[in-house]
Amino acid sequence: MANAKSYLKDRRIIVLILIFILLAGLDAYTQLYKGGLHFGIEFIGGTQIPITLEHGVNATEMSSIISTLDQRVSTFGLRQVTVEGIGNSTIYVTIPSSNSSNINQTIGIIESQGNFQGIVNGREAINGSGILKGSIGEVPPQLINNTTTWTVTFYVTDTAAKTFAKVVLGQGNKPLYMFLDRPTSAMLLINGSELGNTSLGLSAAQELNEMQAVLTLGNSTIPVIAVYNTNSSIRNAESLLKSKVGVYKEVIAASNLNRTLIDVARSYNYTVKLESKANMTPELTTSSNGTIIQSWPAVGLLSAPILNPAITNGSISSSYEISGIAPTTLPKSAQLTYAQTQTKTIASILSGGALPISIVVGTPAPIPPTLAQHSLGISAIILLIAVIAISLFITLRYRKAFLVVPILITTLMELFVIVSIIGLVGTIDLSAVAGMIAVVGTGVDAQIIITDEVLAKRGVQATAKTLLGNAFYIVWADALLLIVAMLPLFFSTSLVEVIGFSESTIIGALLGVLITRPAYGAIIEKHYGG
Amino acid sequence: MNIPNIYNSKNYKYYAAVPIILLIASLFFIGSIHLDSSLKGGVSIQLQTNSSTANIRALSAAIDSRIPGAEASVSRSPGGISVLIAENTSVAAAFNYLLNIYGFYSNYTNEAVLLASYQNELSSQPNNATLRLLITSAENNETRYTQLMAAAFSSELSSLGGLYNSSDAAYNSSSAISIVNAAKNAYTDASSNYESRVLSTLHQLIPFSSYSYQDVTPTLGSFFLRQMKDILIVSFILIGIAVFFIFRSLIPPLAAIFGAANDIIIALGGMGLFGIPLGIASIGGLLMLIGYSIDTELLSSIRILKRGEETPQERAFGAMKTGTTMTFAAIITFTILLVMSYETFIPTYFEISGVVLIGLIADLATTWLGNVPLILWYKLKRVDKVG
Repeated sequence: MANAKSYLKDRRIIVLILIFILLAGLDAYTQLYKGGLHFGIEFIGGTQIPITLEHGVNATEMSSIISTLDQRVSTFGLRQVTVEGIGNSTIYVTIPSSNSSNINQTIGIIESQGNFQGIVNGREAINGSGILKGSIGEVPPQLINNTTTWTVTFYVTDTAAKTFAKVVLGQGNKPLYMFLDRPTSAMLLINGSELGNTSLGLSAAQELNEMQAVLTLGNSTIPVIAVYNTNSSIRNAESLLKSKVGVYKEVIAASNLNRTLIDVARSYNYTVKLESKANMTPELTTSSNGTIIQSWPAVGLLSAPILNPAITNGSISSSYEISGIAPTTLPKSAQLTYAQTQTKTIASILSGGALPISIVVGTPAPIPPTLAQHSLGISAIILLIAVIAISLFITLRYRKAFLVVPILITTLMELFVIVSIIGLVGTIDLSAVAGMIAVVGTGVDAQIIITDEVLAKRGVQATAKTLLGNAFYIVWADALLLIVAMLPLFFSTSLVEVIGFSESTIIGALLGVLITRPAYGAIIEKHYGG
Repeated sequence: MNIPNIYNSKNYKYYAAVPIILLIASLFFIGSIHLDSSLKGGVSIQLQTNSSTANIRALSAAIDSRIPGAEASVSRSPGGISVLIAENTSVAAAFNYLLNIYGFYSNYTNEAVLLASYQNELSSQPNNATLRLLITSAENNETRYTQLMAAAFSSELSSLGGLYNSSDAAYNSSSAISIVNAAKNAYTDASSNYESRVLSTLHQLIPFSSYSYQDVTPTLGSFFLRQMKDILIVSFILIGIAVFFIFRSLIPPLAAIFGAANDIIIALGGMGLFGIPLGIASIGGLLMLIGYSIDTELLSSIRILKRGEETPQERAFGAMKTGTTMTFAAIITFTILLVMSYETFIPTYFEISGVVLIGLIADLATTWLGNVPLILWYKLKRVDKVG
């Protein structure tokens, strides 16, 4: 029997201890600053909403639908929502809440189509209902004379064609402001100190003017109020808010404004939406047509193409195209990517951010938190009982009390490492825990092989070291085969509910052969092999 | 331990009869395996309740009488009650009509786009007769698809009966988009009305504190089942290749694959016999079983074929001692999981542990009475040839 010091000198044992310390540190950090390890809805409660697509789609279409849904649910401030594709015609949206209003809100968001409006010179020239569904065509980017052009074509209804012709009459070379879900009945509070753009030679007053021009639309104009960090400016803004109670319902405010002003707005029962600096700052572009606001996320302005004078002479047409040139300063390949993205963006704005296919939202499957907490506790108890029972079994089988120590230590460490890794980078769900329990089983199998080889033949003809080598050949082969067996499930894109099982077992098998089993072998070798 | 070495007997080859008999018996029971709602489609409701007085049989009869066509199956464990009911046929039929309506609508919009582009061309060449014909035909097609949609919608409504709110199903029969919206609303209403009807019926029968309601369509269920089969097959192929690389000869991988397949078939037969449901989670258990059964087969094959000390029979018996210890350790783990999940009502664990446990017991027979004699015979034959 070796003394404690010699155990701590073994490289294999040191590695295990270091990894343990590293992960414990990461876990603590996540717990403090990132909201803790990730658990699946089976443990924290939540709701799964199944969505069926009208017909099967290919992988590319599927991933575009998933990313559209993902964007929708995340822009509405629903945290930790996951969108997963199952096969070619089903999608699961999972939200960490069982509250029926949250569920209905999410379903609303999933089904919603945005409202597209094209505004020219303060008048609505076209809107989403005037565009024929399915008529929006994305023309592949074209490279002509070293410039890459992008084009989107679409058809409009007869009535829409007439309105458009009337509104754009004489507005050649003016921008068509394309809004998606432009706020109605809102006021905008911006941070005055951020106005003006010296590189484009635009003064604060000019930019404010431009902003107000973009947001003009008959009686749903959005007033822009510039607030400076002075008492008088804040007081002015407050009195303005007071005077407009009942006229406007919503206040869109820069998040870096004076907090009391925000509180005042809330006290007048405005719905206050705080927007980041990036969303509140308009993107400006300058061309021969002057400086215009190209996009402005806070108000839903997504693009502002310039009207070709050829279509502003009053002629009525039912087909239109929006096209542009990728910035020539970009390298060739980047130009192509830019043109592709631009085509997609414009097409998606025109269709109101709609999905390319009809969907049917199924019955939400709620998992109440009470049921969930219950299963988390039970899972932990099952794991613990399994580890203890196994350790006792092996100790009794070999009739050596010492064995209980390394088996308990290595198995518990192995569990800790798997829980940490999956909880940090993935999600611990029911199937992942089932996988952990299975890993306890395989881990113990390996420990039995090691123990058997070292104990049974000790002193016959070989040293502990060569016996360990024999044992590890089998242990390695076992782990390799377990990983191979789990790979098809691991890469499955359909059985999302059980993929966690393969994640746990694969990580467990890898960690086992690389870290914990060598450490176990080292302890056994030192204790019995001397 | 003084157990005699069973491989010293001359008749060791006949041990294989045991796993073969188990295999045949299992094939017989596989037919009676029942799929849970995740694979069969249907509604699965987990109720957390303290009420222990409920009589399961009476409960399922009461559900059947109150919800027509429910074919309820109720199971109870100390943590709660699980109710499985068949998918409501009217809602399922309505769902198919809705998908048809979507299909017609997408044809309709294609025609609308064509129509707009023809009309556009017509404005520049007003005397083109072909264009006029095309326009008429596109208009007729639009009308035809709208009529088809209206017809499918009325079938949807009649199959839904009184499940939808008539205010949501109002529509304008000449407007395609209004039919689509009404059809969608009627379906959404119906499926949520059905859910509340089921839950309120259950609540009258048995008080529960919280519930989980999961609805899987039969199409999705059969898709999952197909996926499981594919995953299993791919897994077997990969395992076969990997084992071949370890031994570089044909017999050991074949023996290992047959051993694992045997374990899986016996596990499935056992599930049929004991009424353990097969669900999505079971795939985890089945793959795990491949892992476990390969574990012992690998151990015995390596010891018998690749080691030199003692006789092959002695090495086979030594492997058996180690291997059975391993399997019993795994049996202990999964028995704990099975018992605890049954007691506390966690179906995922129950499905996984049920498969693995039966498979592990089967593996004792498959490996030590089937595979090892085969490998031993292969080894002895080779020794004879060489010697």
